[in-house]
Amino acid sequence: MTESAALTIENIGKRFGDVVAVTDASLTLEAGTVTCLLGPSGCGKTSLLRMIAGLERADIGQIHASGRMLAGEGHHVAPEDRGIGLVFQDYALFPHLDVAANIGFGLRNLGAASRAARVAALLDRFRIAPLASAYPHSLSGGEQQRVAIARALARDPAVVLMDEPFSGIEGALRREIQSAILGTLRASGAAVLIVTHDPEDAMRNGDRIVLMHRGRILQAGTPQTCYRAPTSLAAAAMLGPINAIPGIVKAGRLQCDLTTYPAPDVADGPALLLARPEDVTITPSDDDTAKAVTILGNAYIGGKYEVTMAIDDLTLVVHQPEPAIDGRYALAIDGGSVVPA
Amino acid sequence: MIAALGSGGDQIAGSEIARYAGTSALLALAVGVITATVGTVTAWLTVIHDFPGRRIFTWALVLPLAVPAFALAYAYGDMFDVAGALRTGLRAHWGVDLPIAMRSVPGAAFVLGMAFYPYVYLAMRAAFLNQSVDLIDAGRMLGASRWRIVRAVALPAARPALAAGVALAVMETLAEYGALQFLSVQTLTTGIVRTWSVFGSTAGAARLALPLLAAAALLLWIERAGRRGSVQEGGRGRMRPIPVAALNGWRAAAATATCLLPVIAGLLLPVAWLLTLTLAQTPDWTRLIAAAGRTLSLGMAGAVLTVMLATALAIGARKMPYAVRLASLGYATPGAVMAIGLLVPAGMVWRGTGISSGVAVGVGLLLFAYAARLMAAALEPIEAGLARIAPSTRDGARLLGRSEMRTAWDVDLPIARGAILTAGLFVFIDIVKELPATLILRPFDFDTLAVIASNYALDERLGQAGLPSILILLLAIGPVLVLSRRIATSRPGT
Repeated sequence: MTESAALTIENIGKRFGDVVAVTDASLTLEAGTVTCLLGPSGCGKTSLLRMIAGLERADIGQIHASGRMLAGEGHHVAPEDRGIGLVFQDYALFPHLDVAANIGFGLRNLGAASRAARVAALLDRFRIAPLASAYPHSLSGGEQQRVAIARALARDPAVVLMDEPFSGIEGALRREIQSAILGTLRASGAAVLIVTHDPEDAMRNGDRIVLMHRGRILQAGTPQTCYRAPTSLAAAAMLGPINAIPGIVKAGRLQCDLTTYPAPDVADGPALLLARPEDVTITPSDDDTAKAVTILGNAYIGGKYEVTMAIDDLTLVVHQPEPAIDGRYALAIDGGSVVPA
Repeated sequence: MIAALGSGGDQIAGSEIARYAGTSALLALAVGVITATVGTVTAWLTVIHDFPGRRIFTWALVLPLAVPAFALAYAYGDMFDVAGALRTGLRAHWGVDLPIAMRSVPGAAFVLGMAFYPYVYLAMRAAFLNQSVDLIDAGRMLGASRWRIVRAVALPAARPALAAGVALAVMETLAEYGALQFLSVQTLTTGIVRTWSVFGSTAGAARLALPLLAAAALLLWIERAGRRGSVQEGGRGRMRPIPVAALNGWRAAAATATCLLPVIAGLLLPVAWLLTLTLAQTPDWTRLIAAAGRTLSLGMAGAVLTVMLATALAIGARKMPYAVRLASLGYATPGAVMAIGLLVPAGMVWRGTGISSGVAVGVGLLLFAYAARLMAAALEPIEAGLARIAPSTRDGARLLGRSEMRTAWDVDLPIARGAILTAGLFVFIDIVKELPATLILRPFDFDTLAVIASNYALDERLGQAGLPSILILLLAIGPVLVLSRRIATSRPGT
C-alpha cells in the first residue's frame, strides 16, 4: 500500500449461487489517476465495481479506503456511508428532479446557500449551467452523462467509479468529450476507476489498466506494459490481435520451429512466444532457414496491410506495407515476450 | 351533448346541478385519497418487502376487481343498516350503537375506495417493479438513508403512475351508478339516470352530463400525461432483481395485516355477508341461469369486438395518432351518459328506417356502447405491447418481403398477443360488472345479472340481489385471477 493509495482491494471473491463472479481479485487505486478495468461482458467487472461501491457484499477479502476498512472480516460499510461516487451506465438520473436538484441530491448536510454555491460551481465546471432547471428526459446522452458525473462528484468523493461511462456517446465528439471529462476528473484529485469493454478506450484513457477475465484479474499495469509485455495469452489477447507461437524454454531461451528467442526469466518447459502483428516482419528469401508460407488473406487496414498466413499448421497475423503472395519467406520477430504455456 | 343545447331541460334547476356536482366532487376526492393510500402502501409492501403471505397478496390484492361496486354497497349497506341484525344485536346486548352511516358520502367513499383501489395498486406495482434499481442505488451512493430514498426518490419517481391509477379510480367513481343509487347518494351520474328514467328527458340528463364530461376529459388528460412520464422512465436501466427487504417480528405482522385488510374489506367480508343473506332465499334458478348466460355472452362478444377494434386502431394509429385519443375519450364517459347519448341517434335511425327495436338491434347497440366506453381500457395495454416492438423488427419484416398488412399480421400480432389477451380480460371484467348502460340500452326483458341484482336491490330484497352479485363475481374472478397472475410475473428477473 503506497502513500497515495486511495483504495485497496485484497483477495476479493464473490459468487452468486453456483456462479462465480469474482475470484481472488486485488488492486490498488491511486489518487489523481485514472484506472481502466477492462474485460468482456460477464467477466465480473461490474460485480467488482458494485462490491467497491458497497452495493454488493463481498464473500471474502477486504476493501480499505484511506486507511479505513470498508469491507472484510464480516464488516460491511453501507454504500451511503462510504463516500464513494458512482456514475451508472444508464446514468440513473432522478426523472422527477431537475438538473440542479439531481446534482444537489447528495448535499443534504450543507445549508441551502452553500449547497446552491456548490451546485453552481459544478454546473460551471461541466459547462451545463444553462441546463440547471431542465429535466433529465429533455437532455441529450452527453448532457445526461455530464449531469451524472457532476452529481457523483458533488460530495467530493476520494474514489469515483464509472460503469461504461462512454458507451452512450457516439460519433465525432466522443474523443473530445472523453478527454475533457477525464481532465476534470484528474484535476479533482479523486482516484477514478472506469469499467469498460473497449480496449482502445482503456489504453487511451487509463493511466493504468486492469485486465479481467472470467472473474480473475489477469494483469495490471500501464497501458504500455500490458500491451508490450503481457503475462499470459489471455491477457495479451484482450488488448488486440496476438500471435502465439508454441515452443520449449531451455536455459533462458525459447526454441521453436520458426526461431529462437531470449526468455531470461522463464523456467524451463513448454512456453509461448507472444508477438503483436507489428512485431513480426517477413521478407522473401531463398535461404535454407526460409519457410514456405501460404497467404490466407490480405486486408487493408489504413496505411498498411494485415496479412494472415499459414506456416505448416501455425497461423500468424502480421502487418506489412504491401500485400503478400505465397512463397518462401524469412521471419524476424522483435519485441515479443515469452510466457509459460 | 347536442341535446343539452336545446331548450327542453327545465326539470333540473341549476342549484340542483350544483348540488349533484358538489357531491360528485367530494366523493371523487375522498375515493381518490383512499385508493391512493391503500394502493400505494400495499404495492410498496408487496414489491419491496418480504413478509408472511406476500406471494398470495401479490395477486389477492387484485381480486376485489371482480366484485361489482354495487355488490359491495349491498353488503355494507345491509350489514350496517340501522335496523339490521348486527346493529340491533349490538344495541340489545351491549347497548352500543356503531357511529356508522353507510348511506352517506363517507360510507359511499369507503365502498368505492375498496372497489377501486386495485386500479392504483396495479399502476403502482408496475411502477415500482419497473423502476430502475440503479435509481435506488444512486440514492444510496449519494448518502441517502432507506427512508429518504422512499420519500425523495421511489415515490416521486412513481408519481406519474400514481396520477394515472388515481385518475382511473376517480373516473370510475364519477361514472358509478349502482352502488350510489343503493346508498342514496345523489351524484351527477345517478341524477342523469333518474332524470332520464323518471322525467324521460334526454335533454335534462344531457345538461347534467356536461360537467361530468368535462371532468372526465380532464382526468383522461391527467392519466395520459402520467403515462408519458412513466414510459420515459421505464424504458432504460437494466433489469437487475429488486432487492427485497425481509421484515421480521411486529413489522412483518403489521405488513401482513395491512395487506389483509383491503382483501377482507373489498372481497371476503362483503361476499360472505351476501352469501349468508342468499342462503335464506329460494332463488329463481331458471331466470338467473338465463341471465348469467346473457351476461357471459355479452361479456365475450363485447370483449372480442372491442379488442378487435382496439387492435386495428392501435396498429393503424401509428399513422394517425389523433384517432386513438379521440376513441379513448369514451372511457372517461360514464356508461349512463354514453347510453343516453346513443339513444338519440339510434331513435332517429329506428324512425327513419322503420326497423323495430328488436333484440338483435338492442344487443348490437349495447355492444357498440361497451366498445365505445371500454376502447381506452383495451387500447392502453395493446398500445403498450406494440410499443415494445422495436421499429427495426418491423423494418426487418418489410425488407424480407412482407407487405405492411402482412407485417402487422405476422409480426405485430404474435408479439403483442399477451397484451391483447390482457386487454380482452379487462374488457370482459368491466362488461360483466356494467350496470347503467345495460340498464338503459338493453332490449325489453333482456336481463343481465347486474340488472337483476339492481332491480331486487331497489325493492330492498337484498337476499335476492345477493345471488346475482355473487354470480357476477364467479364469472369475473377467473379472468381477474389470470390477469393478476400475468401481472405478478410481468418482470424479468424476479
